[in-house]
Amino acid sequence: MCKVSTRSLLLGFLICGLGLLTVAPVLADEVAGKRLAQRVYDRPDGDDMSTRGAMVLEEQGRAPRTRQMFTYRLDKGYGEVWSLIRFTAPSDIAGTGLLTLDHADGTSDQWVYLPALDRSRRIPAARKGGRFVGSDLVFEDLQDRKVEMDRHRLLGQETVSGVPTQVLESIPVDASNSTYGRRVSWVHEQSLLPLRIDFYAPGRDDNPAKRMEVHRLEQVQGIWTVMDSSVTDLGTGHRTRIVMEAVVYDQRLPESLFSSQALEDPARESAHRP
Amino acid sequence: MHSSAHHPHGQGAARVPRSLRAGLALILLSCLLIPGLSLADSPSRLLSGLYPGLSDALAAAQLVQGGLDGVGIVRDREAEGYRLLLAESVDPAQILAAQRVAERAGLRGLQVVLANGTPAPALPADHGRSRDINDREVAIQEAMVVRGRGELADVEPVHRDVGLTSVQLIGYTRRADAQRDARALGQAGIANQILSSTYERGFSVSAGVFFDEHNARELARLLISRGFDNARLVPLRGSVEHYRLVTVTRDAPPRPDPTAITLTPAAPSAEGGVLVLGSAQPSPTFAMPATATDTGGMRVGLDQLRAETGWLPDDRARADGSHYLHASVLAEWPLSDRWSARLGARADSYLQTGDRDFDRTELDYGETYLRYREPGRRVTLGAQTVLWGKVDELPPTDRLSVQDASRFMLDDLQDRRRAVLAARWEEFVGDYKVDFLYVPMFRAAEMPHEDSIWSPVDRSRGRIIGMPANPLMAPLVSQGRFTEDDGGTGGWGIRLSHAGRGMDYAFTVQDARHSLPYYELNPQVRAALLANPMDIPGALAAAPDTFIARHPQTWVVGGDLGFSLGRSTWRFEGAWLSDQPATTEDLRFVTVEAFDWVGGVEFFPGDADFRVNLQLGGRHLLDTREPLLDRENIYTLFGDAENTFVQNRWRARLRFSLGLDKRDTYINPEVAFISWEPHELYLGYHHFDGAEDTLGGFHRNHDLITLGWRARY
Repeated sequence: MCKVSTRSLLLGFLICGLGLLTVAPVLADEVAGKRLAQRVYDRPDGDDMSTRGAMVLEEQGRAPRTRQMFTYRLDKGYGEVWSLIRFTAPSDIAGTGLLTLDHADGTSDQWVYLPALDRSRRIPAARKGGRFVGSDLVFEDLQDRKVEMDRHRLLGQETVSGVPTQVLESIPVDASNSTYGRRVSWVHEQSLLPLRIDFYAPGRDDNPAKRMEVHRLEQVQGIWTVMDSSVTDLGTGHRTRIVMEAVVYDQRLPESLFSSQALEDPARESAHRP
Repeated sequence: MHSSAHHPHGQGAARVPRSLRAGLALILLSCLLIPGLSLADSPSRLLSGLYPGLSDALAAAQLVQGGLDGVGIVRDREAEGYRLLLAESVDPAQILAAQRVAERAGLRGLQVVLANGTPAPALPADHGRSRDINDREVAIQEAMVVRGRGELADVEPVHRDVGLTSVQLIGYTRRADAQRDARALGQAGIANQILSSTYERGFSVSAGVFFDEHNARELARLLISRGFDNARLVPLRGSVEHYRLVTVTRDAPPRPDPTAITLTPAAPSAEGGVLVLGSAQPSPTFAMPATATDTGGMRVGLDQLRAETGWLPDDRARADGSHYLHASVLAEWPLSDRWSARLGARADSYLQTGDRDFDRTELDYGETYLRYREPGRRVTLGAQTVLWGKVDELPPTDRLSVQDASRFMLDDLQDRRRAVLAARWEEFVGDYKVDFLYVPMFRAAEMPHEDSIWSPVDRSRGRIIGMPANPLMAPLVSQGRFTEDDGGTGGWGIRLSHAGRGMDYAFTVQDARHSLPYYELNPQVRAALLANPMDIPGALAAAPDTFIARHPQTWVVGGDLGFSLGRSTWRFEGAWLSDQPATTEDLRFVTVEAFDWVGGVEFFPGDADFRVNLQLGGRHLLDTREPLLDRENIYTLFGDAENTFVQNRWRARLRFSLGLDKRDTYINPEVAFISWEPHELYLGYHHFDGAEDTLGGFHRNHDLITLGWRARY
């Protein structure tokens, strides 16, 4: 039997204790961060949603370019979320539709409808980068991102435009499934919506590459809804403003609205426009 | 019968005439004021009865605030409550008027007192507000601060019975099992608690209690999606206790704008259900999409406009310029929920300058149809463009559409099709679609003017596209007469497709006609030529027409498949044809079986805006029992690559087609300015090269530099 001296034992306890003192706050921040991220993910957002709005591409010294659109979302539960975006202007993209079926297991199916060809084309849903219709949003920004795909950490509390928020850092667990190396979100406690998100490019932790800012939140049918927001490319100053003019929740959108049939026939979806 | 109408203020007014009541009150008020005549400067106060809590007083104040100016609240220290100061004046009439208003509002215990000495200070009732605080100590502390400023504050406990919904993992007979799942929930960031029933054996794990059942359902769905199949919603009754801090301050509290609250610089309250952050953004000045009710009208107008000028730099070309104008118009009527109609028309102008110059303008119908739709079904009758298949540029199963070869392959696929009169029935069942198309009258491909450099027949060289140079045929091509066999029906086809999870696929069977012409040497001309190959004039005189443009009927059996793999999409398509036209070495027209196939992948290098679409295609003539002039196996690599740059204002694109078995090159780089929506300005170059019996070889002198404008309205 080996003997353990009292001194060694004390030293062991001391090292363990110091280690715990160092690690414990970090662990606490991570637990709180994950809890907050889960609350943000689980926040009430209706069983379905329809919006009427516009996306405005703004650049210093140039006329803004506007994309008008309707969006539809159906939350089937168990992480199964279906969405349809239909553009109505400008005329060169009018009628174009994007159908996305996000499945509970994290996989997705995505099709784009091209009215000029009267054809829908399957596109890779795993695509994260690439500008969405020329905006400052990339495809990843439109996708349902599960909580467990990132490591979350609560960084503290700050105010955004006078509003108290909790600052949440999210880093992809698997760097290959995100175009961002890190995201920092300022989460509004009451609505559980981020009022600002700074997006950092991979390996570029010094300055954010892109920033999302919420300008207006409204309670629509009791659900906090982003009505006016913008995404700014901090490198170029190019900005995409997204404004919702009308939002309707829980109008019992049919599943058939999220099918290739409806994607290829805009008239089928017009009855559900808000 | 009309008494109630004359006494709108209730039963009391019915018992005592109003004039008598007013007189009595005035007498009483005067009596009250007589002892104070010596204090004529001291006004009188009309006070309400006693309210034990500040919130009760504020509620009472709201009843009279509409009829009285400046209702105040005073603290009655002796009675330990609050009273409303309804009026303060030296004028008895004003006091009386206020009393009437208060009585009508239902206030009781009114009293008039002299405000001599130092009357209790009153604070404006409309400065009152309340806030719920969970921690009693915090509420009391805040109340003390307010009182310390000489203002009014109360803390009132609030109990409320509520219906709650609990999300529980149920059915554990062993505590250890419940603990295991509780730990799993905790690791997932979901706070929980193990419950043991008093009346039943077993345990459950509570994962949350919600006011809003919707939130509970969301959590239950989440838990089930994570494998907790025993997640259930359990209705609960409970009570909530919190503390209401009621204050009345000298300063008016910030009032929420009914439409918006600006949150800077003061900390905001989102009670209005609207939160505006930062300085207000300028109101949108752009148009919003039309609502559903706005879309009921007719749409008439321009559809597309295009103008292109093309310069051929090669001196060997028969032309030095090839120009194009296009306009299309449409009218759409949503006749009802189920019926709609569309009328389309187009005009195309072609201008060629050089040795062989010509100009031609053609009018044509566009998509013009009547459409009926109901859930799961769509029927379209009229001229329409139906493009089956999955791959780009050369879909092998696209056999019923009408090709537009008037500009060879200079344009994109969508601009290389014309409408054809047809009946189409689409039936949707779940993820499946059955598409039936019948073309009652055949419409041949739209071909270029015979003098156009893009014509498949080059009379100056005596060549037909895709065929090897033949000294025997050359004079016939140059001097012969051409006719077209384009009568009869267009055929029919059925396509069963599935677009669903993981992959899309389709099968098709068609009885179709070849849209592009295949030039058969008239059998009589052939016989004369074979009898005396040197007698070209005799061969030409043997029949009225030297060549007949054939569109043979063929059975088509094919299918396509598409799926995504990682960040790429793979597409495959193939079709067997029973009758592919060909020419034997002895110049006889035959049809043989053929198989066309294309496999392709679309991907985004660097996961950015750059898109690449690579396709490999093949055509195989099957069961060829005799030597043919046609190529029996053709392999082609084709596709396009596209990128946008300078903030999506410019687009660079490269279309290409490269022969793998024989040199056959088509390359089309293009740069377009796309920021001026919906207009595009573009500069392009079309390069052709290849062996003589290839498409690229046929047009190898026709390299073209184009500058154009196109717009879609």
